[in-house]
Amino acid sequence: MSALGQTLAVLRLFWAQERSAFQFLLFNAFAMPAFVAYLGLMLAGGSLEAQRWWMAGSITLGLGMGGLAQVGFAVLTDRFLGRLDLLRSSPVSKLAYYTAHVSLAVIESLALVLVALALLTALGIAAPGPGGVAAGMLAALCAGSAIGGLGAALAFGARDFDAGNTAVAIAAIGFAVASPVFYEITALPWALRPVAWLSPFTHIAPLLRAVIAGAPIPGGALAATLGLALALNTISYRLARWQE
Amino acid sequence: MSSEPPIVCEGVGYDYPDGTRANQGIDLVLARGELFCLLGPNGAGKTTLIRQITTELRPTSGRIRVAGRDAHADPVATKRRLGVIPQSASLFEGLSVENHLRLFGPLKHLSREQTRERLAFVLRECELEPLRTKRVRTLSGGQRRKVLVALALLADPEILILDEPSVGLDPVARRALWSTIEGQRAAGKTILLTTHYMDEAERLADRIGFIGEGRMTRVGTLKSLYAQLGKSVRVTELDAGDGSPLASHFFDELAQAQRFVRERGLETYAVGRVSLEDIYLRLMGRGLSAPDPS
Repeated sequence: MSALGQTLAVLRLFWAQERSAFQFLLFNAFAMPAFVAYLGLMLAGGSLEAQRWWMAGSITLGLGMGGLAQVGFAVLTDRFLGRLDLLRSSPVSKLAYYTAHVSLAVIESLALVLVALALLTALGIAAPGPGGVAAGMLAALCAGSAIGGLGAALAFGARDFDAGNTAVAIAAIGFAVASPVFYEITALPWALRPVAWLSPFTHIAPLLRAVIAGAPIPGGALAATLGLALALNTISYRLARWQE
Repeated sequence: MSSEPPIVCEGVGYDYPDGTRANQGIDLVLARGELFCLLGPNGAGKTTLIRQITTELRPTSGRIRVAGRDAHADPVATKRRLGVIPQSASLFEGLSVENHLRLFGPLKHLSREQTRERLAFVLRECELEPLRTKRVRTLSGGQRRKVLVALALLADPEILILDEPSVGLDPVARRALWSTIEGQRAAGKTILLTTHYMDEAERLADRIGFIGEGRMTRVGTLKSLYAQLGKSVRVTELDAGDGSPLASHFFDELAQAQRFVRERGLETYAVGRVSLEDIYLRLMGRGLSAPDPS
């Protein structure tokens, strides 16, 4: 069986097991941005630019926090509740197992961005053409990979379930607060700016702002998101123990 | 199918990075169709050896061949030959029994058609037919073990590696498991089993290996192990108050044992046939040692 076939087989297994969790997270990922967006729209006072800003930030938080929790908790459950032992005893490759996990965050990001773009188009806040939708999918793909890599790194690096659980929760909330999603990075104290630059949220937000505004995707943010995705996935793949 | 023995371990050892030695110099050859039982106390190195054979843990010395090939050269290919029940494995709580088997089919490189055929077979073989639509979270410990056995058998592997498969099972479930294992042996499978239950080893094993402090201390058939002990009858002195065992003594025949009891004037004692447990306790240095009077 090919690596892709194996990955899809593992993904089907995860999907079947986590279906209810997926539904919850997809709902959560959509409901939270919608709620924050509603507040934002009220506060922004109707300026289209402000509305787009708030929506991009809300979607960033939705896919970031949702994806981080999804991948992080799934890996932790596998590692510390015995499911990884079962999978490792089957002829499954580490690459297939790992890719399936990160794919969860990518699928969630793609779904969220697609739904959000449709909704914003209906509300007249965004007007992405086919190129804009494609750019949105590219942004979601990069964002999901980076977020999935971060969740997997935290979970594979944890020494036990509780430590991993805490790390994922702190990362989700910490990055949401400390990343310039609803404000400019210049609003942060100097000491926090390096942390903000290392947060995937920081680079995903401008990507989504551009997609919603129908502007070209900023190359710097795209490169940073891709770079983080690559680095985080490399680290977490090395942390994942398949053969000791 | 390779003409080489299904499992060959040559001088296998494992040292942890901190220098702790988990096992060392283990030589083991399993014959085709044999059921080999590995016995030893907790921490003796049984699971380490199992994990080395199933390619999860790379030996720091020696080599392992599975079905004629270096086990660690291509772990996925090795695992395709194996059906494994890992000691600490757990199932996916949200999946039904049938969905487990259906979804693990492709992971074990089975086609859809093969999965359908094997699924029907293992459900029957493991007596899971009445539970096929039940979710794992509603199953008892014994029923979950049956699902793990079914998963191990799903791809019809030529070698089964069962790491303490009967732990925590009630007597009825244990016997059902034994019957499944015996069925697999009758079908020609090679089986490596670890257990803490001596009656399980006595009932199932063609050969038994004792592992202690990371070394294989003794290997043989039940008969040859009894012969090595050289005695056939055991007298256990018991505490007159609570009936707990105080010391064991071994004899060639019953008459010697009876004479010993008379001469010592023992009032509370038990006489029995020497068991695998006696051999185990002697080998592990935990026997109720007393000077052998014979």
